[in-house]
Amino acid sequence: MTDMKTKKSSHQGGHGHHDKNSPESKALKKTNGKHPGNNHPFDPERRHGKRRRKHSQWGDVWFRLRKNKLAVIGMVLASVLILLAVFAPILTPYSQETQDIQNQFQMPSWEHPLGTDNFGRDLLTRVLYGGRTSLLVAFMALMFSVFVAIILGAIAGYYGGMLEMVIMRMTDVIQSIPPVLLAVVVSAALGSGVWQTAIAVGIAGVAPNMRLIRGQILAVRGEEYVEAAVAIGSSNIAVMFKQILPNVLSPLIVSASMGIGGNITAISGLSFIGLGVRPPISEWGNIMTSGLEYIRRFWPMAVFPGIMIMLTLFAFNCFGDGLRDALDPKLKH
Amino acid sequence: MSELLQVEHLKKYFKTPRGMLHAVDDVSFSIEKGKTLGIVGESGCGKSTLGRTILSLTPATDGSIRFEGKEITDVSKRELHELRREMQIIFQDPFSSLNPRYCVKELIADPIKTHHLCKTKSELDDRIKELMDTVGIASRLLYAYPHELDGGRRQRIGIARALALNPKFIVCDEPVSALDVSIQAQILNLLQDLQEERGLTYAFITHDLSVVKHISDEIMVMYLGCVVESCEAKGLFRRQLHPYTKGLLSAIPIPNIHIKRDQSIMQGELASPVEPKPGCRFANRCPYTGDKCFSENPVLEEVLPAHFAACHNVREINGL
Amino acid sequence: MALLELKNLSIHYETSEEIVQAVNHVSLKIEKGETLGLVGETGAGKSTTAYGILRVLPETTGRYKSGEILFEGKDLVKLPEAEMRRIRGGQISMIFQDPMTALNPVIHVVDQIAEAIQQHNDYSPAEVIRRANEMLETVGIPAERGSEFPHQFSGGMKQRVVIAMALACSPKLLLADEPTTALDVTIQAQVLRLMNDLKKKFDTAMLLITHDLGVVAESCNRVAIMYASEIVEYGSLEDIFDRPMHPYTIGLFNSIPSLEKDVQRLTPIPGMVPDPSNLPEGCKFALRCPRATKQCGKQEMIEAEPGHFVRCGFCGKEASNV
Repeated sequence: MTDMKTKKSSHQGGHGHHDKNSPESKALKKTNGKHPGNNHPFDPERRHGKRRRKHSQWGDVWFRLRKNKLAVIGMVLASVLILLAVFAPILTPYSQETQDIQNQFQMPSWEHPLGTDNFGRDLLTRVLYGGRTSLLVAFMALMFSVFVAIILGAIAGYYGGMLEMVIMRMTDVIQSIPPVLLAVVVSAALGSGVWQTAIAVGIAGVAPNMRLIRGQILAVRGEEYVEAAVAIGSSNIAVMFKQILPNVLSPLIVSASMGIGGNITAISGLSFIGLGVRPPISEWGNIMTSGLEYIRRFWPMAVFPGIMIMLTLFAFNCFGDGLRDALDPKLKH
Repeated sequence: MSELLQVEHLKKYFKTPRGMLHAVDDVSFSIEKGKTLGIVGESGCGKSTLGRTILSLTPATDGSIRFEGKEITDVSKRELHELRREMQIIFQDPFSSLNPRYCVKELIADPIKTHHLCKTKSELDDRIKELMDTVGIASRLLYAYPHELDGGRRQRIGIARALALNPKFIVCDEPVSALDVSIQAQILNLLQDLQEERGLTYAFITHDLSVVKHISDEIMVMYLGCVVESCEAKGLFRRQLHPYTKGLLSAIPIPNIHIKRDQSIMQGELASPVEPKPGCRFANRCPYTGDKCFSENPVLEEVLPAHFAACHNVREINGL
Repeated sequence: MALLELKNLSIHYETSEEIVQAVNHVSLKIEKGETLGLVGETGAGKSTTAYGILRVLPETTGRYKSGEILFEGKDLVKLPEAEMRRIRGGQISMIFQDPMTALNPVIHVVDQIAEAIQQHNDYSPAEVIRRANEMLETVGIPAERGSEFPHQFSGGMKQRVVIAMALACSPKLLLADEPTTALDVTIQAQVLRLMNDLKKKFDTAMLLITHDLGVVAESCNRVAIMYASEIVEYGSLEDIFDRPMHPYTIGLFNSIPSLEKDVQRLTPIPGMVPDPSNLPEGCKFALRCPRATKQCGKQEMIEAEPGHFVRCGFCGKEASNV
């Protein structure tokens, strides 16, 4: 079954601009086949006479990303949302706690662009601060899942054996529980609060990310450049960090950016049902909870946070999608 | 002692669901300092596995490997790390043997940094430039990435990496098979020059007999994990003893329309290397089999002066 | 009338970023029953020429820029797709380089051959299978193995199956794109012999694409040498092997390590193949040519001796040093 040569086809293609009368071409005739490299006019750098831009892998990715309109929209929108969240305190003169019962249920106006809530608090302020919380918790949950996923995935993928089996079977068990249910249970167990919610939501994200990483590590581990690194004497840690992980991160990044959207929904969902983050800390979900009561005579409280969630999801999903396309080398040609 | 590398009764078996795969089965040879041993065979013969086992990239199942007189099959991690500086490898595929995320400079710096060979940054830069000059890569390509370069240039990077540690011994695993014909010649010349300038010792693995004739001092022919013939390079082409070698040579198409080669084409397919049956591995394809061939595995013996073959009927077949 | 004639054929790949001139002004002829070897290194444009003949270029980027492909007098470039489909597999077949990927892994091999027969003939299902089994035997595979899957065969046997599929409808022309490059040399010998035997049996003409001059010497009647999208030399087997004229051809012969001669050092061709998306004007080999001068501009094909064409201003005037 094995009479195929191990030879693979080579893709030759010089690069460069032809200049018959250049000193290089005359020098080339003298080299007569000995080490023609240094005087050779066919260089990537000399394309069209200009110095070519540094074509790193990430440079190429960025270039492709920029060409994708939807991804750019997503990126811009996501950045705006993040900036709004970060600079919330500066953007609004109100504090999120100042109550002003006289002014409750004001429709949007110049003083209160989104109106006021049931306690007379400026809704815009609450939504901005709410966004802060939502995004913060979403990122925390992401950090948590990614961190744990990398550790477990790396151990499982690189060391294999009994360790891998134990980790994989444990993940199987956790993955057999519907993620929403899992988040609810953990949230209920840990109680409400920022970091508690982050962990509750993050746990559900560990399993799929871990499998992703393990799969990538298994694929990359067999690559010849990993063997080449071992051949020159790299230690296991060096191989893991310098050879394997950089090539494993791409799908992880895509998964992560798509995951933020899911995290936000989960967090808001948990807060909506009373777990997750509770008032007085505002969070889109819990604003909507209160808003639900009054939805018939005062819709802004329920609607605006909902719109924000929608926009955030849209932004990160478009960006994540575009990133996945940009990272896929096969789409290049 | 002029022998740099001595391998004795080396075995490398792999466990598969269907049984033990005998990739390298009782191979013995030695290479003198400054010489090239050509290891020839088709796919499945175990030559690549042999190359990797010699370098301890994969642990030997049994047997002994002595480098500069010292046994290296059971060295400590620390000693192995030191050994890496002496024994290096050039890979076949210049595509997959370079990490696509690193540029030329980083790729060549890698081995140097791993062994802390340069103390200062400028020393490192000088060394990298020196290596690039040696292998013939334009210094302008310092920051180029592998996917921007053609196969020939990529292979030169691979050679630069192998040379970076100033090794004494290099395993060249089909270094030109993936390259175009006109580039092959450039790389082969480069390897020869380097050997002369630096007194390097090569184990040159290839399936291409014409390449191996040109570059080797001695040649060893492998089939399904065993050595079937071995002798001085030019001698092998004047006269082959083992039926497989004869068949191999006659199968190569010659770019000369006035030479008609021997038309006896080898029939059949490779036997399986998993749990091989007793007897000669080549028996199922051999036109000269006798009774012993199916029950006893032939041993490599000196049939002519410095010309070894592993065949029960070698003398009858060759009229000796 | 020649079976196949390419007249001044040019094929480009056009993307939004660049234009790759894969094939430029290629002219060649294949007579009935003859084998033409198309020799060149990677990127020369040989495969594109074959895909072009069969009209299987990538839809989004492949463009016929000029020229004609005359098969039995009909221009294939202008043929409607429905007619072209009748020709593909029936009158012109192709064998690809890598037998691993040419076969469908989930279909029995006999069915893959049967499919080819069925597409171009009106036989009953029983007759189709009978012919498919016959083809298997012809290529040296026992008919009992027909119900196995590709992964159960070795590389050489897979290539035999591919050959069976290609020849199942007795095509007039076979395009073989490096059919033995991926095989071990002893298996290559078997497969080449099989191809030569079948060629004689079915009286099939063949365009054999390869970079291996040894294979050419064994199997071809005429040879065309391709470099950077152009044919640089074209002639009979004897013309090319005994009297090569183009500096590239001579360079190729000189750079191959030979089994007969004993050389100390090989003489490679200096430099590298030009970037197909950025080909130089004029002679594309000039930069690597030991004889090039400032006058080496655009070159036409010159008939240096009857039937032997070279694209080089120096040739035909002096004998080459081989």
